[in-house]
Amino acid sequence: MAATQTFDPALEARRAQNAAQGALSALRLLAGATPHDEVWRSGPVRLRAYAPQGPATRPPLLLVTPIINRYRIVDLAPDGLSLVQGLTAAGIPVYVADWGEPAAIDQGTDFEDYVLRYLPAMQRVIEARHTPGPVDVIGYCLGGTISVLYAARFPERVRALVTLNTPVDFATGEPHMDLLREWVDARWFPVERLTAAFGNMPGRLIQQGFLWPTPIGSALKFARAWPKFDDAEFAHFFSVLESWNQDAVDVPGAAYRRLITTLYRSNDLVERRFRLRERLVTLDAITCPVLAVTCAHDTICPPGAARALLEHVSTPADQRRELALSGGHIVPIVGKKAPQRLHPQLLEFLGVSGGLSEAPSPSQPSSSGSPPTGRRRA
Amino acid sequence: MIFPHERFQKLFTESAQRCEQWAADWWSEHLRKPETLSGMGDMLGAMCTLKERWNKGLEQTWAHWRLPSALDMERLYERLGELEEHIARLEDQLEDAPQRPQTPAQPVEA
Repeated sequence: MAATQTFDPALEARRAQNAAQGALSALRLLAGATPHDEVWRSGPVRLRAYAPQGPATRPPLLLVTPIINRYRIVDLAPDGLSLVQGLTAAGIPVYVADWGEPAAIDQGTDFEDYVLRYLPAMQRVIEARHTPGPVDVIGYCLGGTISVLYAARFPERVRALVTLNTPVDFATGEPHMDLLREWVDARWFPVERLTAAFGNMPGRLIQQGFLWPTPIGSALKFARAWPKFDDAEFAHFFSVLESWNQDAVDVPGAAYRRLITTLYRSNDLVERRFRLRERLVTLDAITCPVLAVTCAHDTICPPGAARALLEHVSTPADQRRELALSGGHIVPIVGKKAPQRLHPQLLEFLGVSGGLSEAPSPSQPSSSGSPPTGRRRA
Repeated sequence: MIFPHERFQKLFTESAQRCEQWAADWWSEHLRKPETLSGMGDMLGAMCTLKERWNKGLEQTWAHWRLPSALDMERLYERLGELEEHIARLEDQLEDAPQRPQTPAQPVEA
């Protein structure tokens, strides 16, 4: 806090100007920061293709975004605030799985659909545009949980797996995760009634759940940020991030019910009880190189919840890694320090796991967005 | 706001921080109490009841005008879901079934 704090009209005007410019930038970036093609679509779900900057030097990569937020968190803004750009700059063709906003008809969408239907279909599209074979997969938050399930169900289809703040063990008892777990207890959280009444779980309601553990901090967030608005760069980042943060999407009712009952309540993934279409899916089926990115002050996915993945996979010890970052759930992944702290480590990991040694994929993928006719079973 | 005296400002800041910390602690403590959680659950339950009544009212209005309602759509989704599940199971069975050796086609005798 400054020693003296006086009202400076010029300073306040600069802050207001930066705030307005930040809001305009946020509006401009609603469709993502990087030009891309929509190469596949099924209902609200889309596969977005980002061409590498320059010739493709590595195999394609599938980036799986969370189901409770917009996909653009991985492509928030240019100039270092886009994970996608960090990857495409290294010559990687990036494909982003965008789950979209579910309509009433999508209320039955469950983890089976994500893992057994959508991701395999996306991989078929990627293979049709490049060369057939396993792909690198990066999953963020619950998108990471879906990626983990995909890698466990189809180990032969994933070459390397990176999880960014991905909860795997929901019963580590770490701060806020334990609170969230307590809140959704069957004694008082009527998840069946909620999803039956609303169809899809309202995104706003889910968002409240993440804000309530720290209500004072959440309420004062804007007031605390205001003094920093004289820095135009901060104002831009804050506005863009908040525009994404406030733009919550509904979660399909069936997927939300499954998330609460089998993951938060009974921790089925770690307890080896998680089933997809009655087939048991266990983490020890994963044999590919795994990098788990954890953040020390993440309250949504505490480090232990994400680190647990490394303890349960069958990957050789020298190919299992944790990248421990400081900070919370979002800023270390998409903030301005990510290009220095996260991107080089990700690229090094993907290179170590064979990314550079394999034959590069064609730099000009086929124009067809449809999956190949030789359908592989999901 | 103008704070001419640094000491007053420091005192104000410290009090605000203390107050904030106290509120946060109080909140954290109460958010774990079964009574609080049960109350929150009741609130969510009441919200569900309201939405259910709203859905029912809407349903009856549509039905009164002999128009397809959300319930009809839901039934349709259910049927589609069942069909989809059936196909998925058949696909799983196909995947699990051992590959049959391909036998040359026998010429059909006239």
